[in-house]
Amino acid sequence: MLLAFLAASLSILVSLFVQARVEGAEGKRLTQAVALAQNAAEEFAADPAGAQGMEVESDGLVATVQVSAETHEAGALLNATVTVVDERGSASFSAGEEAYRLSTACYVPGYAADAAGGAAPDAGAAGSADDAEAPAAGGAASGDGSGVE
Amino acid sequence: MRRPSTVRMGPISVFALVIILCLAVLGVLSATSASAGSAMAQRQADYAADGYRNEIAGQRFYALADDVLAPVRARGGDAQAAADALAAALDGIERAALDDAGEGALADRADGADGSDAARASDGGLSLDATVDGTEIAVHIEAQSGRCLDVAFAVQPDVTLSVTSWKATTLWAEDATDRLWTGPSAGAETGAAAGAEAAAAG
Repeated sequence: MLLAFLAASLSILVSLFVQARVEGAEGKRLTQAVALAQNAAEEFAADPAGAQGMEVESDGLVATVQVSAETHEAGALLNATVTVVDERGSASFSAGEEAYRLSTACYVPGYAADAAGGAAPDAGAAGSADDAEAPAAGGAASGDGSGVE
Repeated sequence: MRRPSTVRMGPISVFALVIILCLAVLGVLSATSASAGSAMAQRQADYAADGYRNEIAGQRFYALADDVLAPVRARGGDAQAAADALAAALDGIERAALDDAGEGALADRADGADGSDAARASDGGLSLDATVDGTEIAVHIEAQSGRCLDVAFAVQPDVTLSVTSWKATTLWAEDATDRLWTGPSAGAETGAAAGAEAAAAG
């Protein structure tokens, strides 16, 4: 009877510990995915035109940046989607599963988006030298803000 | 006559019970801690997403405001004319800036007490306040989670828009629910006063 009680108790406790481990790993993996997505988003903010297709990898997670350009009168609004995929797989995510997705944008005055959706800088545009720094500064500011949390 | 069977608690049984109890306590603590960690990670992910939604709204506002300046620039207008054009188009810019964040953006407009033009738009998740004061434009974007973005633009003499400030902040409300003592610190004040008197006497 004691053995039966021990076996039942231990099976319940083991399942409790396993559940806690899976949940903890899931939280840790999500935190890593968010940090990686934010890093990629800040890299996009620093260089919006050169971020298309950029990949950032860390600890089995891969963040990919997809950029689409929205043409405006005097520039282009570059919309970026950062997708973080768990390449290795873990207790919470299977291999290749999307772990986190983040969208951001950056307006660059003086950019001319071509027909293919890419973007090419127009260095002759008025104010582009000053304004090109502004989105990067904004991106950095948002990064600082998130660090406050 | 046969005696009824009884469960006899030997030292091994007691030891096993104590171990099981300890493991149960540890298991509950572990599960609670993991659950709290997972909830915190999810909250952080939502906060990050809100911060970047603010960023999108701010960048979109910037693009749309620059669109308004383009015809003024083409006409050869000055900075004040550009600011006037921006003030006139503020409602539309705000609605469009929040389009990406959700449907059904609402905007209302009011003349500020200081003569500045102010407008407010919200879409349920984000709210956007913009004010044009002279050639300065101030934009405040706030998410429901408390993530805020404050942007300041200036219309330059060559009718271009420059960003003078881009600040991401988080509203924080102090949680006072775990405060153990909320009464007046009479004892501390008395002690401090006594200390001051002693110092003066010394």
